[in-house]
Amino acid sequence: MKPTPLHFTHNGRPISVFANSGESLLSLLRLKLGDQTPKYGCGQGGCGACSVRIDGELRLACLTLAETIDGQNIETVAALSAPELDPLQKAFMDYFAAQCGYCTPGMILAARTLLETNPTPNRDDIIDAISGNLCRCTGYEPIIDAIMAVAQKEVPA
Amino acid sequence: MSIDISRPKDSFTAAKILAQDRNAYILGGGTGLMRRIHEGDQNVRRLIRIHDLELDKITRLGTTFSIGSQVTMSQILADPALQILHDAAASVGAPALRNMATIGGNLFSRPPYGDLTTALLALEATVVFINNNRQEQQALETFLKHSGPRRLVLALEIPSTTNKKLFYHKMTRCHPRGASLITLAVAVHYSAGRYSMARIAFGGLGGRPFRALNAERALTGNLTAASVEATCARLKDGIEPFSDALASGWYRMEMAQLHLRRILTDLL
Repeated sequence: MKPTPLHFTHNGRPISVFANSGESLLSLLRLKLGDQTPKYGCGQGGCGACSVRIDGELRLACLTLAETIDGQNIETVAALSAPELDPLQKAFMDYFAAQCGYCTPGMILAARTLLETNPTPNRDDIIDAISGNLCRCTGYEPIIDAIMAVAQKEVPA
Repeated sequence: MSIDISRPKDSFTAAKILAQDRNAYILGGGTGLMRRIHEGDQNVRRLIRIHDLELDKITRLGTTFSIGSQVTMSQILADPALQILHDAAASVGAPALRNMATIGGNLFSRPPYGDLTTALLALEATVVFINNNRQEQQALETFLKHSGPRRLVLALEIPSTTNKKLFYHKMTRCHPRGASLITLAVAVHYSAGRYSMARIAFGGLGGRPFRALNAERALTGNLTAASVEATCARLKDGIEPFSDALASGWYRMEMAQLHLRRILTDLL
């Protein structure tokens, strides 16, 4: 049950850290690396608030055993805001797609992943892409509108 | 709670640990096990990592397919040759979950999860596994009924899907994603515009998905409106669906018959 040494990339930065036995990636990111952008929502993979990208693939950090990410590239929503905000982040502000903001990091990562694989999504594609991300504030419509706007390039980058 | 992690170098060692330690579980995508750990399930004391064992490959063997137990739903969806499983794989969770959830883990998921297994049953898949230090193969239907020593699943083999169609229904209370009340998969052979040899499988009517053999037997011969009704009626024989927070057993059976009737009527 001794800690496992890990070497991976976190938002472009090389990281070496020890993972406790059974520790989740979400716990490691938030408590050891101080990246508070992925949120702890349900801890059951049902809300999507902890969404991160592992080697470009959208995953749930709460259900990922930390030691399995050794050698991989971890991306959280913090990576999208440097050096300036991602068009999706701007659109979320313009379309009032964030209220309490708890779901927003996961929503934006899910949307960014969609736009990278399908640059011209329709509304149903967007609904499917964010179907694993729960929002209790907005009713989803502003979120879908914001993502649509970026897809249609209404929002200047 | 601290969890022990085992990293066996080969499948036989992994199977041995699994068989000997009742609190050891194979870590697939983690979508089931990590949830149990978060919930404080004291039965999960050891995770067996088998990521180095090359079980994440899809192999074509003539007209059959071998799908490694660590293959994810997203991998199935990305493979056009596995089109017959796409509806079922797409019905499992949302994109992030599909990138993690494995076909092997799906076999052991309890209701309201484990939707893909229903489709695999209807396609008469077989399971390749290690039991007692030997590699064995068994029909999925038989494998799911087993309650003996714990076995390591290596792969699922799908027999030829030539001239075969799969009709898959998943009933949920919320859309587009929700836990399933019931899942239904009907596989049929077709040739010269006629359907035959229906295989009917249900999930959500019992503790594990199963083949509705009584209903299948009622479908021999030509498919007619009368035989469809007889099949739906026979579905009740020997099946007592459970009740839970999602639905009563009575409602589950009503919906099972309704969805079966819809699929079979479309084939008339």
